[in-house]
Amino acid sequence: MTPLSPQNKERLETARNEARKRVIARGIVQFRADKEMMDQLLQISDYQKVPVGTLVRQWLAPIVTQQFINIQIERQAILTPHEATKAEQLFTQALRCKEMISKLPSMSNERIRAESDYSMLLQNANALFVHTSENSRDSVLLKHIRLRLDQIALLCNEETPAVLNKKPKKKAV
Amino acid sequence: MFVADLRSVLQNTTMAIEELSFNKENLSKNSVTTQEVEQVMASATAIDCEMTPSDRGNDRVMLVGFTLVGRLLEVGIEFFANRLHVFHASGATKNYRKRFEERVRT
Repeated sequence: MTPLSPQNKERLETARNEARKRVIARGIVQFRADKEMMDQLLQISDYQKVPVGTLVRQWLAPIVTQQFINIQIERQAILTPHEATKAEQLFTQALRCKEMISKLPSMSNERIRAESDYSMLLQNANALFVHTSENSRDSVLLKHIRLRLDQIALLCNEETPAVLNKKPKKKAV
Repeated sequence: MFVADLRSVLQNTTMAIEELSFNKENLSKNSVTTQEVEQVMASATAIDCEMTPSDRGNDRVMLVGFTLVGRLLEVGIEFFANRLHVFHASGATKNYRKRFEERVRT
């Protein structure tokens, strides 16, 4: 048995990074489920008339985002510009979600789901930006984060129903 | 463009690309797909075990790790000058399973 040369170690590391990128690009997750869970999943899928994959993805999306943020906070690693791009990605996803919402029929299940996804994405992006701004010293990054936080605040104000913004009428005495 | 985006683009462009080839006969004999091999390579928990060099004198390494479904595989890789060749992939044998458990525990 001979240990790998440093050059080959580096080549292996590169190949593994590329394999990881391909796995991410493929975007397919598989998992095993017991018979009972499979049966229940199929029944829910039939009842809601939504494919099992779509259903599981919808359930998983907010949990994954939340878990990811929790892990980042635990690691105390969201102080780098690289991590700030993750907040940026969440913000972009939220904007895409907002565009999609306007195309969906009002009061439809899809619209309600999209709206909840939108608010979740916006909240998470906001949380990440705030956390990064509290801990970062990079002036360019801080300037960018301030801009994004202002944009998020504007988007939140847009979403507030007009009824809530109106001042209550004075009662006639 | 955002500064961090620019940095990541620059990092990606300077990174070399490793070509990967497969011994498809061995893979199909052991019912392993190329995608499963990539999943093991992509897994952060996968370990690399030392191996003797090949008859051609190239370095070889055995990766042991989980696929996305949770199948523990052993993946043999030979280092050619211009590419990395997956010469073997199968379900992890007792020996490699034991090594994997020991390394993961520590």
